[in-house]
Formats: sequence, C-alpha cells, structure tokens
Amino acid sequence: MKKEQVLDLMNAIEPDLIEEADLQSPVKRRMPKAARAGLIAACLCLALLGTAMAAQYFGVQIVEEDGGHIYLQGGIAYYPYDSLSDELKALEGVQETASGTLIRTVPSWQAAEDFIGVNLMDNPVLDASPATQCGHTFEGVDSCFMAVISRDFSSIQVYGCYELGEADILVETTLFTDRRAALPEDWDEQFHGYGFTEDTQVSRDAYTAPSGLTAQLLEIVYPDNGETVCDPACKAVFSLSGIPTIVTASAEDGPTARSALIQTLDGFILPE
Amino acid sequence: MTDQELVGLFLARSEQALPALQAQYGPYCRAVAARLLADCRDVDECLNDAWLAVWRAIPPARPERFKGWLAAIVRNRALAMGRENGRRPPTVDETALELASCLPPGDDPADEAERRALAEAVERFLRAQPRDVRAAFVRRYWYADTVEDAARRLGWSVSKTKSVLFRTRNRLRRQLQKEGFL
Repeated sequence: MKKEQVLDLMNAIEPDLIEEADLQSPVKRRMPKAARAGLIAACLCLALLGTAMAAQYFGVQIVEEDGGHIYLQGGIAYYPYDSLSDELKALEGVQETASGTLIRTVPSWQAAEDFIGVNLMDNPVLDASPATQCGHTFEGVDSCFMAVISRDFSSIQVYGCYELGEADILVETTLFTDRRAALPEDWDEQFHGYGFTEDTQVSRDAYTAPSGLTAQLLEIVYPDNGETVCDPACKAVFSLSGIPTIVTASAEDGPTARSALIQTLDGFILPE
Repeated sequence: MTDQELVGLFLARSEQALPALQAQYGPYCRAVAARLLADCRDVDECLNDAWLAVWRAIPPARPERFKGWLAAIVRNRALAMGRENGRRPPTVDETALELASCLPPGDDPADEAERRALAEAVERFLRAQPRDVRAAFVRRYWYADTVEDAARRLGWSVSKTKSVLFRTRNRLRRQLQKEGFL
C-alpha cells in the first residue's frame, strides 16, 4: 500500500481513540503491589545473606552440589493469582495430562504473555528473530513457543525458541504465583537443576549488559561420546521483576554460542 | 468551557465561537498540525482552514467527541497541504512506510466499500489491544510522533516503545491475514 493511502486509512480512526492517546500522564503496566513487596523482601533476604555472590548478582543464585549438580535458586517474586488473565484462570481444574500440568502451544512470545496476562520480558533482538525449533520438548509437546502451567497454578513456565545468526536461543521464564502454599514446605526456592556428567566441561562467568542487567553465565561443552553430539551451549540466568529467566544459546562452537547469548542479553529492556 | 458549551456557541452562530475554540484547542491543534507540516506558515494556514471548516460543519454536525473530531479535521487538512506543497517532516513518510509493511500491498483497495472494511478491521484490532499499546500505535501512526516523543509521553524507554510497535504491527498483519485482507 502506498504512503498516502496508509495515511488516509488512519483517518478512519474514531475520535475517542484519538483523544485517548492524548494522554496527560504516562501509562505504565506495573508489577502488582504484592509481587513488588515480595521482590523487595527477597532483595532484603539476599542482602542479609552477606555473601559476595548475593551482593554481586541480584536475584538468581547458582548453587553447586556434589555430584555435578547445579541448581538455580531465588530471585523470585510471587505474583497474585488474581492478576493472571481470565482465560488462564478459567483453566483451573481442567485435567489434560496425567500429571495435571496444562500445556498450551502459542504462536509467539507475545501470545504467551497475552494468554497469561503478565509482561514477562521485553527484548527487541528476540522480537526481530525468527522462531525455530530448538528441540526442547515438554511431555512430548514440541513447539517454538509454549506455556506450561502447574496443576496447582503455583508456577507458569513459558518457553520460546529463536534463531539468532548461527545460534539457537531458548528462553525459559518461570513465573511463581501466590499459590505458594501449594509448594512443598521445605521448598527453598530452588526452581531448576542441571546434572552434568564428569566429562562435561562447565565453566562459570558473569556478564553485565549496558542496560545494567547482570546475569550469571554457564558455559557448557558436552563430551563427544560417539553417539549423539550436543552442541556447546552458553546459559545466562537472571531475574526480571521477580521472574527467573534462563537464556540458552547453542551453536556449533562455544564462541558463537556465547556471542549470540551476549547479543540477546544486550537486547533485554529492564522493567521500569 | 466544556466541549458541549463550545459546540453550543457554534450552533448559536456566536461570534465568540472561534475565539473560544482557539483558546481551548489552539495549542493542541497546532501540535497536531506541526507534526505533519514542516513550515510554521503552513501550520498557521492549516489552522485557519480548520477553524473555517469547523464553523461550516457545525451545524448540522454535533460531534460527540469534539476534541477527536477537531483533531481529525486538522490532520486531514495538514495531510492535504503537505501533499500539495511537498513540505512535510520526514516522520510522516517514515510512519506511513512502517505501517504499510503490515497492510495489503500494491494499490489501494478498488472501491470505497473495501477501503472502509479495511479501516474497520484496523479499528477493531486497535480496540482489542491494551490501552497503552493502543495509545502507542495511535501516537505513532495517527499523530506521527517520533518514537522518542511517543516514548516520553507513555513513560517508556525508546527501546520498549520500538518493541511494542513492532509486535503490534506483527499482530495487526496476522489479524488482517486471518480476515482475508492479506
């Protein structure tokens, strides 16, 4: 369509929308108050820990245990269940899988956010990247974008897979709700774990993006066991508005994966 | 003065109508025109034409949303002037090209009915968006704000504004595909 035709098309916008857009004060989509209070409490807890790691990395910590296990812990704010979308809440009690977990495949990250009713992240680099299949599946479901809702609605994970240059990018966010009473009593906010074999090379690092986002990095080189070869991967873990986020870049070589990961991290817009 | 009172002055053909209109909405209309015209003398001429158009339109028109109705008159006149004299800020073309990427390609729809259907589809799409997203879209593609100005008005960062506009255009494109326009 030609420029003039586009300009004329917009003439049809109704007056009430024209007036609505002439705002006097900024309109912001803010984190619900309860979640913010939880996040502030989490900050204080981390500050009181007094560890160098807590002081340096806001939010998610990487905990290493014997036997090559790594857990991600903390950085969590509990979002009010009531702030979720009506569409999502309407699914409570629906039984679709044996575990009770609900899985929804969606066409885009934005569609997942619309489905949940919460803004999980803003990243123009990923928005401009094509979706791809990363090979990530959940209970046999394979999709570029999906939302996974726990049976008790205490957690909602969203996955998105993108292609960025020569690398694949997998983004995983986990939103926890104030259904925390449903979580195990001894749950210490360890929400994700990895088990690596002895011959897997895992190194740790940190990165601070120009925006101020600070993430902990894990660089992983899998052994070549002659059967399946996994591409080197580089993971970044951080928390945005109390939503733990894991970004994994995988590529044919480690430097390419890391470069793609850094490019992605630089694209995150920190919530105001 | 309320909009109803202002419209009342025009209905009564009061000589206070135009001064009252300029006092109430002069700065707003000037801002609308100034985004669409590069020369301040063109803006002055546009506003004079707009005041005359309002005087001629009311009565019989009795606009319910006076401010938005008035802004549309100013915008139409400013676009027509810019088209005639070629003096337009680059943002106007920039926003039109951005939006064109999610609208039907090629020539304008053949007849008035098709053009109206497309406009109605865009309107329906906009009304289904969250208020702040809708405001960002209208600021950019109706008011022809720069991204920086839109961001400032919305209280967002420039990056977030670009991201929201990008996603919204993508959603619009998908919606128009679904409705058979693309």
